[in-house]
Amino acid sequence: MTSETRDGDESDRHLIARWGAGDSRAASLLVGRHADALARFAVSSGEREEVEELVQDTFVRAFGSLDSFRGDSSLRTWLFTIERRLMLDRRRAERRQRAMVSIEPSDAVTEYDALDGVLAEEAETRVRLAVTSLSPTQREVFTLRAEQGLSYREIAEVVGTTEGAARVHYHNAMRAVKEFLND
Amino acid sequence: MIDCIDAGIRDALPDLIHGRVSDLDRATLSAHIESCADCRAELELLERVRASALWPPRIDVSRVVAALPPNPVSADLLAATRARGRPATRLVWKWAAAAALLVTGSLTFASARRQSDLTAPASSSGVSTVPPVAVAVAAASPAVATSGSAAVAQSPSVVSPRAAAPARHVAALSLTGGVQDLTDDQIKALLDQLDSVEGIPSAEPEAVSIGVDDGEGMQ
Repeated sequence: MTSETRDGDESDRHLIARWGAGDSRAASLLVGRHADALARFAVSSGEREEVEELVQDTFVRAFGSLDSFRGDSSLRTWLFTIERRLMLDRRRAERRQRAMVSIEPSDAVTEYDALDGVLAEEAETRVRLAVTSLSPTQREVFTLRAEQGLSYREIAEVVGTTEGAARVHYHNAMRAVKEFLND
Repeated sequence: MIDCIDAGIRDALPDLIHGRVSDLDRATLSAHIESCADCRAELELLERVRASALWPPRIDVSRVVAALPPNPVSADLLAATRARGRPATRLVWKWAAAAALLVTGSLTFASARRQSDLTAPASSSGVSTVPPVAVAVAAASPAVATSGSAAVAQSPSVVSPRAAAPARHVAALSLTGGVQDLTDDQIKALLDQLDSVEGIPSAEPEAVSIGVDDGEGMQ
């Protein structure tokens, strides 16, 4: 039942073609269209620092290899894929440097406390805490599905899994969020 | 909060809140949600999840765009323009030099012709301006070019070079004495006349021949 076409997809391709033909203004339109979604995905995935740099790096990588974008997926899905790889690279590097404490499910309360303090009882914050309590994979899939509205096929492409696995992760995540909120 | 048994409907709920369903699907979903409390609850939860999403910092689009790699086509055009720039510039300079040369040559030739026209009457009257050595633009008749005298002579009948085509002009260079015998004024006059000698092939249809007078007549 999922509609696989997004209204902006055709325009994205058109803008890519314009950029490829030498119209530099098309780049501004593409960045303006997708930058916020990339930033939200980064924050939802646990990134707290240098989000703008991450988004910028994503676009730099994407425009540097735009000729390899075949249009099989939407541009936004492709951008999410690039951003996710950058986030993984960044986390690996930070882990090596022991400068970053990886956010594991068990750290959710700590992260929540640090972020939101005394607002723990507010419903919105409880929902956020429920999402934060998910495993990294579940949170990633759930965020892409619930917050970004990607299809299972697109999510599978972003996180490098199958469509069926993405569906299972989503439903497990939804169940976990419900259980968290019912407790 | 329990789950609806219709997995297909549950799968589509995120698409509904993001507007990624067709009108037909929307109608079907809406009809189901009206009658299903579990799906209504899940839809409400999804709305809360979406609303509770952390707000990222605002992205400065212009800064991101400024960091992008150069547009491939623009870069190619720039490179091609740079590559073509030198030969194109060189070609322009070549044309400019050729045009300047042509103009200079034409002016020099015209000046020489005008000067020869002006000096002809003086020569014909036998007035010698540079007695020992002379550059003479003389009339066709050798008799007019006086041996041993420096004369710029032209036949009085030849007023217009073009009109005098049958009586061809003969430029004569007479060398009958040493340069050391010349005064400063004579040397200056000689140099001025040498400057007026045509050094570039004329574009005029009428040919100009230079003869050397060795004292026994024009050759």
